[in-house]
Amino acid sequence: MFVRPVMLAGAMLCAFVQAQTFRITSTTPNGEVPGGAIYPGDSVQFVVTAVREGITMPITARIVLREFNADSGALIRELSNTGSESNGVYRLQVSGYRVPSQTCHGSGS
Amino acid sequence: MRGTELKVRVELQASIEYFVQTNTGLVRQTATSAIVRVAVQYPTVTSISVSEVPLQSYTPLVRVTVRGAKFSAGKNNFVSLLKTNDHTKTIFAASPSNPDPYENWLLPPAQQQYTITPRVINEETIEVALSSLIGVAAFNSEASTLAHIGDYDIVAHWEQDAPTGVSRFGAIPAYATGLVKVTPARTDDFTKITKLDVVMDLLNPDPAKRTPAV
Repeated sequence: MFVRPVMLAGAMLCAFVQAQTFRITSTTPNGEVPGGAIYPGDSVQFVVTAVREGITMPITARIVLREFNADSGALIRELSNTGSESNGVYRLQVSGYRVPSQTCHGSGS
Repeated sequence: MRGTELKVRVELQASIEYFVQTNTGLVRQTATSAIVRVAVQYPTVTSISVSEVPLQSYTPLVRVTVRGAKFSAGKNNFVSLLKTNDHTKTIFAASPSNPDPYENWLLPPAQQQYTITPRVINEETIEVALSSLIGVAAFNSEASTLAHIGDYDIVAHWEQDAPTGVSRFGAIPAYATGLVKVTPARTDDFTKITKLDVVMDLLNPDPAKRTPAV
């Protein structure tokens, strides 16, 4: 079979530069869709789907949730979990995250 | 309003560990996804249509607006007014169609209202009535009534269906302070009692028999 050298070189180049990436494709709940907002006091189970690209020998996929103080930017806590894979699509889940409740009390009490 | 009003932002990031074949063997590497930000909503009470509520006055129509709320007719919506430095002192919020709750019991039983149904104007605005602050009879002291004078905090609640994956217990609250105050009672030195109707048998189904002949 005759293969043009330029085609062979191109294919090799593509294989060489193909990046190994992991990309989130969906998140539930999702505040970007109507009715998807979460509020203080909510107990949330996040389900994230992700796909790998250019990765041929995967080992383990993880999801991490990071909660920051919105005012100071300080990291408050991290929740992490592994997930399952089916046909190259990963389903990652963080359960039991509770959005801190707002509480109020009188200035003099 | 003083409190632990911690506001948070939440991020999700996925990662995967994998092997790469190199000339020297398999090398373990990690790829991480872009960060996905999850919005947490913090609605706030932005306005109330009265800025002052005199003691012993009944305010039948008050509109409360909450930016980010989802008030919906048929759901539980309610408003509370709490004295800023003493949350044991409150103004009762009733249905706009209700008479002052202190007078409610004077109505015939069939007309008395026991449920609070704020009127939903739109998703972010509801209408309630504010009851009068009568306190106790002033035979001994007016101090307990006058103690209600001051600034009040507002808490508005509404029920909203939770999205998939969210467990929500109770209503969603929004807070504000510094928007409304209770002021001293309006005085009227010209008030005279000219007629006094006495009801002796309030529950008698015959109206003619409720009031005794004088």
